[in-house]
Amino acid sequence: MVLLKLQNVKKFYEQKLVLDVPEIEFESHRIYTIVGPNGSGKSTLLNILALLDKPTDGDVFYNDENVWKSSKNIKFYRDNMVMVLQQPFLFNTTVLNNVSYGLKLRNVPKIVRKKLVSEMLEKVGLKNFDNRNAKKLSGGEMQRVAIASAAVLKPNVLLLDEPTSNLDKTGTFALEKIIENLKNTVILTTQNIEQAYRLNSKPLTMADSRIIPNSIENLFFGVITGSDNSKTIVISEKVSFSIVSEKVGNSHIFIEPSAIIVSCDKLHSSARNNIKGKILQIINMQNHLKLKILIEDIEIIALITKESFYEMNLKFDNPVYVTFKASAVQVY
Amino acid sequence: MEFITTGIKEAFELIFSFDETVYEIVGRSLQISCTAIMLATIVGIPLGFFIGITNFKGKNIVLILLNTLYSLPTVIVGLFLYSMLSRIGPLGSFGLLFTIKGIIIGQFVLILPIVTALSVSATQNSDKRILTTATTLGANRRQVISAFFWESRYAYFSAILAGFGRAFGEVGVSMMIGGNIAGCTRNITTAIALQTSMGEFVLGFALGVILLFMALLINIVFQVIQKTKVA
Repeated sequence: MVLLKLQNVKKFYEQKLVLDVPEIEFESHRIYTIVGPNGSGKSTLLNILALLDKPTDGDVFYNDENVWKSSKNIKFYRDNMVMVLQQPFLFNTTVLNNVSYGLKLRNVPKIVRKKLVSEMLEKVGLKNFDNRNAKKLSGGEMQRVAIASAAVLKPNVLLLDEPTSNLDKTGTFALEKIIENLKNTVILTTQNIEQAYRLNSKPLTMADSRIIPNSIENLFFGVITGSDNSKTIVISEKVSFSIVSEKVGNSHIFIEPSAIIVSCDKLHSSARNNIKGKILQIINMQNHLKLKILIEDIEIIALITKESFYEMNLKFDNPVYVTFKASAVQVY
Repeated sequence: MEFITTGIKEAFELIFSFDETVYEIVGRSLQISCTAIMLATIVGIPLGFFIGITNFKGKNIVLILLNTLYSLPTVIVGLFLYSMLSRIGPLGSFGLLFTIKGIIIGQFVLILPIVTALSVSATQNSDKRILTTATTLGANRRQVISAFFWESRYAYFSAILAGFGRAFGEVGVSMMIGGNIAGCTRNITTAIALQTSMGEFVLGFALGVILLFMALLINIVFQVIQKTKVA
């Protein structure tokens, strides 16, 4: 069931386009990960989804109701979703008061509040933290208190803005466990692609204020150079790809993993990109195999059938050639 | 030199003997300045919050104006209000000249820019995440604003204290608008000025000690607030 939907949403700040989403849907009881670099528009998207920010253009639907055009007060919709900021703010009081703040606003009786807060604190690994001053906790503990404050309200949608950006590996894994155990729709932003896999979430990739369809992989940033007829994008000191684009300068590009041909020998074809690499990782998918191939200092993902893989007798660390057309490189 | 030491000694005797004149003047000073600061708080804090939180055309001009009025000389306020409240002035019919109400209005005009300007900076320096956090956790507009004020209360309280300090210690407005009428509009600062001009130092010293004590008290509270904020 579709819970949240954005349609033709655009957001401008001082006439600069910071978000452009033609359409996106979020189903209930699923985890979504929005992956993208800094400044790609992730936080803006999250603010709009949390109804904290109004889009300049377009519509936001919650349960098929057009939120900003509804006769109901915006608070009616806001009460169904809670957002946790990247640098969460905690009130200068006890952990108990912080976590019970939202419950108090909802007129939940004190005795029930205390019980719910204790249960939630135990869930996030902060048992007996009730009377600690929230401002004196560590970064990871603060993050967990903020998530507890949001999750205790049992919102239909929980939005988390880079919840693990300030945590070490142990803290990150612990928090991911907490997120997985929440029974809400969770939409979180991250710069870490691996996190999207670990959370068993539906990943969405953002770059340059837009959502890039169908992919979280093979997203690169580089500088486009060259003339109209022959353009290349320089990804790193050692790697550049031929592309077809009107754009010049800094850009994000995306290559569909299924558009990449993997071969043992160099192919002589019309494809402009033919680069040598070696197999770093072989990931077994349901119908395909995902190959992580190291090309100089970058990693590229290719999707091939199991038949092709066995026919070519590919193995880990094997040298291979990756081939793709310049027109297969999507420029954003 | 001897008259100073004798004066101070007798001043303390006056204070500790609970001299009626001394405490009547102190009481009046407190009454005037507390009322003025209460009014300035009611107007200045919300105004400062609004200016600090919103972006509007001409905001910079408003801020420059506020900062200029921040250090407004008391005699200028006195002069301006005198011309407004005197019999021939536009507000003369209200009969506020040489009354406590008149001094309260004068001190209110004097400290309103202070309270407002300090509230603007309190608002601007406060953590804006309070607003987002309270909103997303389900607070309505009123609850969001009260959460913001509560979390930033030390900064706003400092603004109120600064305003009170200025009102309590000013002499120009009280003298010009109040007229220093004994038993009616005479407060600590005007009494000190009068006693000094008459060469009667004992009452002046006694009131001066109390004024200094009040200033000290305000500063101690100020320091405690600052420390609490840091902690």
